[in-house]
Amino acid sequence: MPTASDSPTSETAPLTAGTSWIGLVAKVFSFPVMCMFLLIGVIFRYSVGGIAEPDIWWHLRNARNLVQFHSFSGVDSYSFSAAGSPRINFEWLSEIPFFLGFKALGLPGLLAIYFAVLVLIYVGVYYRVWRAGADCKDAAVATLGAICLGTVSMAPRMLLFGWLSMVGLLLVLDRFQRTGKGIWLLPPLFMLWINLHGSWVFGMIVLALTIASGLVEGEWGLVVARRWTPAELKNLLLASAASAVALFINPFGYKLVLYPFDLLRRQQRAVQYVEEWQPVNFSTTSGKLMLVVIFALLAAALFSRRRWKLDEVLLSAFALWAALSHARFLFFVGLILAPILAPRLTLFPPYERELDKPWLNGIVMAAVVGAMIFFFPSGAQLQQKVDEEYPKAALEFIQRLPLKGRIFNEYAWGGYMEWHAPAWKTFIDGRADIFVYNGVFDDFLRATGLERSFEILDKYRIDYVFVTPDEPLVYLLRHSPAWHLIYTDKVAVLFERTPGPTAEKRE
Amino acid sequence: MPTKSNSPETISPPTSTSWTGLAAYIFSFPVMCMFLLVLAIYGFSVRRIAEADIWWHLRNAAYLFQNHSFASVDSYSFGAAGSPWLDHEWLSEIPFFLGLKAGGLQGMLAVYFVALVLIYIGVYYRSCRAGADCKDATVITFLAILLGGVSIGPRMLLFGWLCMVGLLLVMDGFQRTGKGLWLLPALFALWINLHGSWVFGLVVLVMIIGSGLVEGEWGLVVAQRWSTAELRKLLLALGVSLAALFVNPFGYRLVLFPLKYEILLRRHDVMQRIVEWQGVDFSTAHGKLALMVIFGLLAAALFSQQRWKLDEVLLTAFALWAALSHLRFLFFAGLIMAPILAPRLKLFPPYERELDKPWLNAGIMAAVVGGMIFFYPSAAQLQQQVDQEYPTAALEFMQRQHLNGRIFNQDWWGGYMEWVTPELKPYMDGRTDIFVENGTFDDYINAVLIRSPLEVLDKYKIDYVLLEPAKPPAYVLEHSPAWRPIYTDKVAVLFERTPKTAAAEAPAKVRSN
Repeated sequence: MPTASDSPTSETAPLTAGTSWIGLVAKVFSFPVMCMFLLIGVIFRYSVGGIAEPDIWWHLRNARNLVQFHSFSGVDSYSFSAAGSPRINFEWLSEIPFFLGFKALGLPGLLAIYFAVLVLIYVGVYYRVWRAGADCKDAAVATLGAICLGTVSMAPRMLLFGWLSMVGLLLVLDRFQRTGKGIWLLPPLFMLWINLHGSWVFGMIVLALTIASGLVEGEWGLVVARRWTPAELKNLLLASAASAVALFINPFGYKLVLYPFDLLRRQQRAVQYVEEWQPVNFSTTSGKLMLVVIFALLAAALFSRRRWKLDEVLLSAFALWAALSHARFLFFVGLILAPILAPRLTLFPPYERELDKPWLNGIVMAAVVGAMIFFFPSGAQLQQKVDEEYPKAALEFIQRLPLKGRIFNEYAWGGYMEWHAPAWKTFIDGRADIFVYNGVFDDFLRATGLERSFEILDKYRIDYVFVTPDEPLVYLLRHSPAWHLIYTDKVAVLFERTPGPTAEKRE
Repeated sequence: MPTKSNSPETISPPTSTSWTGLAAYIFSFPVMCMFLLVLAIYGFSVRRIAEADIWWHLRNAAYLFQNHSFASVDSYSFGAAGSPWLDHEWLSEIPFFLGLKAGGLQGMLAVYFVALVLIYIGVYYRSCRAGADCKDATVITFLAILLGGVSIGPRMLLFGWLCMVGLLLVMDGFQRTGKGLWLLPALFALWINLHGSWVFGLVVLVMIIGSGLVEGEWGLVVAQRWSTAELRKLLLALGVSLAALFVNPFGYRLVLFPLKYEILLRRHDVMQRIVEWQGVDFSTAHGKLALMVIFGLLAAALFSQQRWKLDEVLLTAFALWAALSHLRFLFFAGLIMAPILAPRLKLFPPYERELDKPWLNAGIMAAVVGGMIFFYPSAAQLQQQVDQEYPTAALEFMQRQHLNGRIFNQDWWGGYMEWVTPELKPYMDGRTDIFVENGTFDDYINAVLIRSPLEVLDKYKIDYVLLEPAKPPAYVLEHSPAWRPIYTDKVAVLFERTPKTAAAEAPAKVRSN
């Protein structure tokens, strides 16, 4: 496998020796660094809009329990439909920074956490693109493309820590390919990763593909493969084995290692229902962006004379398949493809350091930072965004009365209710697994899809139905004498079972 | 522009004029492969008779034969009764109608099977001529057939794709020999009367012409400029073809129809409601095939050293965009990409004519033909397929009971009702344009998506509702005092409005809650 340096020969390679203050200032306020600041500005812009993530609330509750009781709850206590069901808190370590951020600063603290993680991720991507030989302007455009693809997950999501680990893995592998060093970082990385998020499986696949691509040697069309040296291969295999062992260093042992496979095997129904698990939809903005990626890949293969390393081909194919099959992996495809495509799609004339204007770059960078501080949303503004998507007023109404009984709730609201009104046990929340295992998830889909809805509401002895106003179920309940509306606003409607009549309408 | 012959050994005509030479040619391995492809087409065709739109197309053709004129307003439905409408695929309807008249459903099957065979023989031939080995060409044409599965059935669109193959063959011939362009105007004159896909034909033609306006090499891509004489001929053919489009019974209105249709569908967000107009869903079989196409293209670009002509790049990009954006164009992508991919994906060792065994090929070909004849479905078997998807029994029940009134129906059953029970006017059918234009389609969506089903039924003074059982609208009606089921089977459930007194009281009672 090539250990020759892939580092660019362009003038963008900035980090040379100058020890003088002027040299350091020129480096810090260089055009490539300014481009990075512009990218951070874009990330900030997207981050602000993503605060209202449905799953963050039950994650916060998990973390609060952990911090309070210093132990993991082995069974569900948030819902009534899966109460007592065994569960593992498979993203426990990612929940902690979010909880601490929230505890310290409220919603702005939550925003600060995921904004910082996103910045680390995309600075890593930008750095890799630049190291792959792209001009800084092409690197900025490619990273911007990756950011746009990543918008699908720009929110307070545990997944972000997984993708941060992915960038870490790619950086380690890049360095190993360049210098033959640093591979010892993999086991601690995987140990951390498995406690952060289930995407470590993707990390293992990326690692396996990278290793496999150096097991053959040859040239096929534009594709070239060079074999690892025995020493390199030994290091890689050793690091992989140690990483595999490191996966078991977690509070749940083998159960956490097996969890992602359980998701694939037993939770297909949930995977099909959740939008981000569905295939890319080309009529949406991210779908159109994906079309651009496909065409860019084809253009890079057809119009560029630059050779493709076999690992680049394998990783591109894997990332493309993953992203087209499940929209949530658009984020992943951006991480993988940006450094592969950018050096092949030369959109701009090369950057010339001599023409750089550090003072101008400095002003732009200061403007970006100033704007982010100035426009950093207040707690009230973020709360307003949350209130637009969650039934805050309705929940207050419920608590004010107070109502008593079993509530059938919107899937995306379960976590919010569990965090804001923990006294109320929900029917379902975003922890799909426990609800899939006991059939509640299927019943939820049937009820909301008007397939034996009344029978299902009866089966669970539901007293209240709490859903969005545009649900077909709302129309059905509005026209049923067995239910009556007790609360409605723009976000939510609340029905109460009418005492007496059964679900059947007929006399 | 290159005019060199790409003709491979596998498809060249017999050099000997003797009977033996002719027999060896006819019973050669490449021809046998073609028969296997025909068998695959047959396998798909026999299961696809129950196409939703064929029925109102048949009624159009019947009207044309009876009255020797085109119906200019709708008289089939009550939802769009009297609305002006254009029989924009009139010429394609005729062979289907004649097929049905001559041989019933079997005759109709024969018509679209033949159209499909002609299309894919053209694709196979083009793949071979592009330099692919016959085995590679077979595999790729088979993939094209699988992609085409989305539109296999008695569809007018097939005649459009047949014209597309004709266009591509003419352009191949012109690129090889500099001849044959005079066929284009005639082709376009025919095409516009068959189907609106002539627009795609024009786009393909313009792309091919455009790719010869530059010269150069960029990576694997190469472009050669047309000679002045070639360019003059091409532009002349393009101009005359444009003029030929107006040779149709409706004049400029038929030329503008695809544009008007597209605008209408986009404005009313109809494309998101019709499956074949939606983007490819990669979780389906078609989606996985599209994924294979994407990976096949990337593999061809990365692993093959064969150069790409600029027109191949442009056509591939256009076909890929069209297919990923709208499922129905997977068929088109197959037609375009098979001859481009086949020579680049060398999956098998080359065919050697000397090793060929004509007797074995002849045996297989005879078995294919015999098998198709022997297993050709009977009229009863085809009718059974239809009955599994359409409410035949429910309509018979309505006729038997002499039920009369306004029927709200599942949209894809409308055409069937118009053909089988013309006296029962449906709410709407698959002729989307007229129903979108007058708002009937929007109301249909509001009803089936449970936004306001009961209100829509009241607005149109519906007396009967004919729906699929166990679906949300049926569930709502089952639980509404204003409606009662009077017939149900596996395919359909028929609701009748309950007598006026009860119906008038019931909603008021519900609303008071």
